[in-house]
Amino acid sequence: MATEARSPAEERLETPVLTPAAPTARPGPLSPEQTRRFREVVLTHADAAYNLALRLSRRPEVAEDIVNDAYVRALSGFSTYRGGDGRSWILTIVRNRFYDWLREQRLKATVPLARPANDADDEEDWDFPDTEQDDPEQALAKKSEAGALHALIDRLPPRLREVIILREMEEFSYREIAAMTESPIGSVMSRLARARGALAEAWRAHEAKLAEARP
Amino acid sequence: MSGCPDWQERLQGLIDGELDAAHTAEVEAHVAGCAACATAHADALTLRAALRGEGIRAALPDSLALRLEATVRAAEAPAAPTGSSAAILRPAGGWRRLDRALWGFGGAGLALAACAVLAVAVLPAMQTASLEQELVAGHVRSQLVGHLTDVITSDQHVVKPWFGGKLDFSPPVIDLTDQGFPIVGGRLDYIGKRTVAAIVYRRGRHVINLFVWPGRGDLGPAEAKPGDGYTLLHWTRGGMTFWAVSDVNEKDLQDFRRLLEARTPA
Repeated sequence: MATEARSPAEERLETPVLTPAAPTARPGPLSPEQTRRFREVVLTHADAAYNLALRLSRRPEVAEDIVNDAYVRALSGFSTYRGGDGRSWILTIVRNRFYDWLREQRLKATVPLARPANDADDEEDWDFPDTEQDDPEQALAKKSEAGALHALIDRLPPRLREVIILREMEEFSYREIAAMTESPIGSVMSRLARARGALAEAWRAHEAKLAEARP
Repeated sequence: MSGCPDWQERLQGLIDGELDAAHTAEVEAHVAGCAACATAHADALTLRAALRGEGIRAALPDSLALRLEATVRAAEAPAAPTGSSAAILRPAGGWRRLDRALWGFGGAGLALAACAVLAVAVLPAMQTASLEQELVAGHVRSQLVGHLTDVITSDQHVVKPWFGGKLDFSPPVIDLTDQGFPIVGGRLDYIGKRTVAAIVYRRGRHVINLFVWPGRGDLGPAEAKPGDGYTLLHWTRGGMTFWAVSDVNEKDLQDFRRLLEARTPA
């Protein structure tokens, strides 16, 4: 149905071509007026950008690099800005930078990365091992509710993590998420269904574990 | 997966309010008569409430806020030496390791990390004075994440009581609108290990953060400390310490200080 769905933001804001390594990528120079606009339209969403990068990469120092890289790219593409939603624009770049980083890790890796067995999509679903969860059940029991929820999201495959964050935390519409993730709306819906099902199940198991542990 | 497989996608549409009226009625009717889908529906709403609750969204780290500010500034100022701007855009592993090492020392590490970044990227002329760095970081942060003010008003009589319930002191809030320094609002900030008042003024398109806290501090005479783009001024009056931080020109900031001092009760 809406395979070709593109948000109005994307029509106006050209996402810079992303390549894994671009040491020579240099932004600008922007005029003071453009810089002011950039702060207003794009830089104000730095918190959302970091939140997405952190939940996708699950590593604070990697998330910081991804966000900074994304802003370097956003700056270099900003001279073409003609209006549109700065938040979906920067989050799209952050998301693409994350997959670039993941691809780099995959190429560098000497052992095969985990491929989630529960994912039937024939797309790239490789994920970087979540080192924080070597001993998941025990680690989980010690966490606060927010920490436990983070840990459960972190166990989802990246394609499910991203739809949950974009829908529930950033409150984007299906159409916007479809454009940002370059997926048909139907895939967005089925990923949401799987992510919600998996999270509800994991949350129930987590609560049962906690109840068991209580005297 | 939970709920009926055939209804999965439509159920998401209902949860997310993406269905038209006819489909909404149809899915609602199904959910009313299907225990599995009703559970899936309720679970999704519980999950949503949890995900939009407190402490779930990650806060922007100060180190990243400063780095992004440096990135934007580097894009604006093509006159910056190539070497340093390249270092800002793609920090070498060494910088990140330094950042991380400094972070390990907690609060002091943060201030030092701010020094490290600012000293290179923003304020090469500034020496390592941690209070000043904190003040500039506070000023930068306030503009970076859309967190300029917690109470937005141009009325000093609103700003002052707003601070009343949140601080153990009462900062003087002076109206300088008639002098071309309108008040934008107030904010709490955290400087020198204490909560301070930040009163935000504007001069044209520039923002002035006025940080206020009680005590005279161990300060020399008021002087301008121009860095690369920021000017800091400090003075004490009426038992309060004042720091003004802005990127307006030094003369305007000196005027600002003079006007404020004249109207602050001694």
